[in-house]
Amino acid sequence: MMNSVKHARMERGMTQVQLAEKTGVTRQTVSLIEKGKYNPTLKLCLSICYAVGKSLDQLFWVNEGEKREENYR
Amino acid sequence: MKKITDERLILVNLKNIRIAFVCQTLGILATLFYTAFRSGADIAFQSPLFFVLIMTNVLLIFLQMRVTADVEETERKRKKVLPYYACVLISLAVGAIIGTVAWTFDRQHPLSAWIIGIVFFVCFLASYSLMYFLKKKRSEDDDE
Repeated sequence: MMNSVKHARMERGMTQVQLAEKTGVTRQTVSLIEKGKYNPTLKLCLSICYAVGKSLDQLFWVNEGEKREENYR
Repeated sequence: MKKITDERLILVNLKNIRIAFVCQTLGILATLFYTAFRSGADIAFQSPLFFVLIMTNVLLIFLQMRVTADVEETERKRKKVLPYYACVLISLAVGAIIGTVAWTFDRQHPLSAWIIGIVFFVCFLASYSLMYFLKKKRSEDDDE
């Protein structure tokens, strides 16, 4: 599922490695989350939000229509 | 070795374990079928591998009960949880009946009848205990 993690991380001037260290996961996982290829648990979502200083809404909210389009893709 | 904390890697690890489990089970089945084909079914049934296969499957079924209970159980079908002593009494009754039946058929070996009765009692009690704790946990979850 698409998200704004990459945008928020770059805004904060962080590398994937730094975000990975802060959230306790590997860099590969951060990369997959940013690409929308791995859906993190709510716990990890919150850790990412705390690390980049954004809310869940700002990072992960997807409108219903957008979600449906993505599923058909 | 460093402990894995990455949730994605934990999931990947679980998937790997599942694949290994499937391979192992298929290997055991193949070995048992080969033994049965070569030396007869009796030898295959006496093999420790057969015991391992049965024990693993029984364990899997018991663990799966926690997964399937929520899917199958509907609001109307949910029954009130019996007290634990009722489970013990039912198991005791089953053990006594089976023991008595065994003693009726073979009066020369009362010890065998006792053992059969005790085995049935323990098996029924184990199953009822698991069901009791699952239902109790479920009713506690509903109350919250």
